[in-house]
Amino acid sequence: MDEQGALTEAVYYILLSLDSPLHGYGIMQRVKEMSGGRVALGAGTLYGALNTLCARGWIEPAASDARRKEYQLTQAGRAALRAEVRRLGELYQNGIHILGGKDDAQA
Amino acid sequence: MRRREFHLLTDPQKEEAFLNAKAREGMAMTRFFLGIYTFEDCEPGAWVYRIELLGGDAAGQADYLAFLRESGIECVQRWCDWVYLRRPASEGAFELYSDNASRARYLRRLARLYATLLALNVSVFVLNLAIFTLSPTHSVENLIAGLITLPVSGLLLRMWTVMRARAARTEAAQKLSE
Repeated sequence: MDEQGALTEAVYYILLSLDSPLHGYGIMQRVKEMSGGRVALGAGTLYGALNTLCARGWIEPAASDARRKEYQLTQAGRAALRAEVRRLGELYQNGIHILGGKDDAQA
Repeated sequence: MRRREFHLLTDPQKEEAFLNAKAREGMAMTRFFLGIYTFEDCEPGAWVYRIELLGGDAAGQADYLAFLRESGIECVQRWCDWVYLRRPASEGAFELYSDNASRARYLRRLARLYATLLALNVSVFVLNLAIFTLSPTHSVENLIAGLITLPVSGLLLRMWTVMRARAARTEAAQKLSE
């Protein structure tokens, strides 16, 4: 399989929110919550991403009797997510190292 | 109170802006047919409207519309693959495409539609001109039919060019950030 590469913010947050099964609208709200309102997923964007992620084998429809279709992470998806968190950690550490530990609030 | 207005709006982004401006004035679009928009009174700014061009097959489209409905997005009117969507403004900002990649794909889909219609229109033009020229009757109807396609082709060509430019700009923005 080809190398993973950097995930987009939308994909990263979608995968993260699917740590437990969730339906489309729930994903939108969870991502908004996690990002402090910064990332507001569009319904069209989300729909496309969910289909792509299903095709990629990183998420799958969750067995649920709820009216709304729910999704959940697959093993492969969870592994991809962990790899991404590691990658982001590397980026962050290098950033802190070079620019210093001050964040905007303190600078 | 119900109001009907006729507008010839050929640019979907401008049409969206128009519907949202109307909603801010307290007029919510409820129906559309061949340029005739029906508006109902509403609280000013109560709704946010978006226009979407559906892609894929019928099953995929039905699935997508069901997904939108679950997200609180109402399909007010459907016209071929065009859908007029709206959501209460109280539920927050409403965008269908929140990142450059998916927005560019949408704009490319629009561009492809205009390209297809343009090709069809040019074919009709060529066909009519050919019939007019080659057939022994030289029916002026064919000439007229052919000439009518010209302004339509002009419009479609403009829309195709505009959409490609918008898609390219969005894709360029993508190179820097999402």
